[in-house]
Amino acid sequence: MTHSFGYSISQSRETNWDKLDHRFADKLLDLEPSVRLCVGCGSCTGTCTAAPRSGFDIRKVHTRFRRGEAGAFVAELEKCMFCGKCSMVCPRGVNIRNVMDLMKKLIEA
Amino acid sequence: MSTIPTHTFPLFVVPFLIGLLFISVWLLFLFLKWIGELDRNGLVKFGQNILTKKTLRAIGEVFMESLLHRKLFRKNPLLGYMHMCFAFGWFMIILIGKLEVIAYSGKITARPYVAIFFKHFVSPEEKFVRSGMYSFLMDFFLLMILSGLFLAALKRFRSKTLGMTHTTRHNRIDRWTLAFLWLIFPARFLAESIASGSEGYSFLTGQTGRLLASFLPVQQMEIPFWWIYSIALFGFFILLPFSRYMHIPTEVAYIFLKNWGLDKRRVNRGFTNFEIYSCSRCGVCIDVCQLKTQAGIGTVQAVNFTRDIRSGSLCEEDLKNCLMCGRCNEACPVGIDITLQKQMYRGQFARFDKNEFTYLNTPTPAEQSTVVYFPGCMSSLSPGIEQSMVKIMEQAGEDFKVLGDEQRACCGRPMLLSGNTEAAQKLIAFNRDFILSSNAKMLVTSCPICYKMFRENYQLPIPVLHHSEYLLQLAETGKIEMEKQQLRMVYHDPCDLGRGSKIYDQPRQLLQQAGTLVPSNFERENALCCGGSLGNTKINQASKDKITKHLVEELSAPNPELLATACPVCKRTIARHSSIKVMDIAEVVAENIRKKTIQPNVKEEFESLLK
Ligand code: SF4
Ligand code: SF4
Ligand code: SF4
Ligand code: SF4
Repeated sequence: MTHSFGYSISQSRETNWDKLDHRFADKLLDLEPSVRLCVGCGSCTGTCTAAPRSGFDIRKVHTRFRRGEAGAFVAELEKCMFCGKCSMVCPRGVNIRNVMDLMKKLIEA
Repeated sequence: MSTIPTHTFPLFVVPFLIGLLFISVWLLFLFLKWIGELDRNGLVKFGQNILTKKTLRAIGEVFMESLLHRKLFRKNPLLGYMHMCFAFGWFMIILIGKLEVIAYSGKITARPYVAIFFKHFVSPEEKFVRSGMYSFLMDFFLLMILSGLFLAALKRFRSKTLGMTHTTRHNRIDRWTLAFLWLIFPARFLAESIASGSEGYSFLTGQTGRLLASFLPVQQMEIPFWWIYSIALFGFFILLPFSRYMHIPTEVAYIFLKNWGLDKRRVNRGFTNFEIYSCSRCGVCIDVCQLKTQAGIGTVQAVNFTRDIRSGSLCEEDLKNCLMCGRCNEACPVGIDITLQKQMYRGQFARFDKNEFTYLNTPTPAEQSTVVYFPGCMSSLSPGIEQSMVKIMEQAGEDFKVLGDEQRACCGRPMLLSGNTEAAQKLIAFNRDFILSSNAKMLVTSCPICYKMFRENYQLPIPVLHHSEYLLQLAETGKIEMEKQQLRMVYHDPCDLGRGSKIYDQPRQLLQQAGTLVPSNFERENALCCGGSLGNTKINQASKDKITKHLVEELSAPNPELLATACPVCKRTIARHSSIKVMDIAEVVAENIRKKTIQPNVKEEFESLLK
């Protein structure tokens, strides 16, 4: 008998320390320190040129990369057009295009 | 001193001959290798144009640029003079030296070293046809080179004297090559002076010779000085291909290839080499780069870039840290297209090139219209521009459609600038089909980035207009009229519109109909970059801010009431730091557009309808 009361744990929000690997995330923070400034506001995703048609969610990709789920969403980056809007609108001055470039670089290396 | 027959072979000519042989063989080998690396199109152009008057034009350009350094002269007269002294002076010495030998011996087949060491062979007393004129000219050009040498030394030790804030540093090979180069002409000067002894040739070497002979045993000193001269030439020739001075022969070849119409837009390794090695490391590109002057980033300028390629130490971080603003292209006296080269080299570090954009596979057909308006990604961040354009086009009665954000893709230029050429092609293909499906007669965009991309990479069969051109057309054909206000404006040239697409006048003409333009210190080709450039994927916010603040200071200096620009990125970037209002030209036009008075016949019709 389960009573959900309308709440449940979303799979993507689950934190499982056994599955996380922070090595890539730490390197990313070294290479592009501005990601530390991210407050998760979602402006980047909200403005993204690719998002409406492709469902690409750049905030999700870089947040989860930093959380230690490197690789899980990197294939998503195939959708990015590199237009630069995300970096332009970020209220915290995060250089997101470079973050994407570096995520690929770290994973592919 | 007596005359020595020219067929004798003094030992001191050996180093010179070895050096000459080495450099000739080396350059021949290298240039042939690079030509071999040209693609088919390059080779075809090469073959087609080599025997046309383009070759003559190239010779003219070599004379003006490689010898007289005309462009450098315009940038910096003293620096231009210095380079001219070396290049033109040396050339004349070789040329007149040859003629002198021919006049003397009556033959053109004299051994190559005779002209170089002429005063060793022929004593000053010996007269031949115009011998006086020859020795005067030889002395004259020697003096010219020596004066250039003096300036060069001054530049090395006090670069500000020559109007340069930053100068280039030499590596070890460069320093040795420079040492040999600087030794060549003083050694020649002394050797010739000593050889002329007390009898004298002409005003320079003759007088000096007489002076030296009055207190030195010049007879014994002549041969050692010829040795020094010969060794200096040897050293210079041997080291030249591995030093910055490689630009001297390469630039000549580069000018020929350029004139034969080789297209550097194609990734063309062979031609690229010629271009990269043509950089003289003059350093003119350093002082114009705002990353250096404002943000203190000194490892990314054109001069560093060409050096890093030559030494095989190009690094991703530096290569991607460039605004691609084109200020260095504009300044470079050799005319190297730095930004294009960087774009090509960025391909080595392109990680988005395999992007497929499968979600773009099903385009919605565009609605039919005469004009398609493509605001672009960046304009959608500044909706005022698009709203103004819509208002103006409606007033002008144009048949237009806006290509909305949900329908179009990014123009592809940011992709291209980051070296992801293949991915950019996919975006181009998608947008191109989409634009053409509207059957429009004209494409209008308000983003200079899209504009440059459409013009250069889309091969569209319809005209592409930036909104500054389009609005000016509307104003000139009377479709819109503006109220001229008492408004002092400064106009900022966006990089991709100004330097990138040579659109300077249209925005200015348009603005003049709405108010008064006042000039800033950085106009047209010389305009500064706002710092918001999409070409730089590495720069941090703090450095960007420094660049923008400086620009805003400069634009605000003439105390305008409005800063006008013609690019959504510039507008937003400048507005962040400006206390003066910033507007796009479309907004300026829309705000000052005169309401169309209703035509009398329309009015009558209207009134009759009401009755
Ligand atoms: S816009 Fe900037 S702060 Fe907001 S989620 Fe994206 S990266 Fe983080
Ligand atoms: S650069 Fe990529 S992630 Fe950023 S807004 Fe453009 S398409 Fe979206
Ligand atoms: S790139 Fe041009 S301006 Fe810069 S050092 Fe080389 S030749 Fe001079
Ligand atoms: S393009 Fe602009 S930012 Fe890049 S090196 Fe040249 S002057 Fe500097």
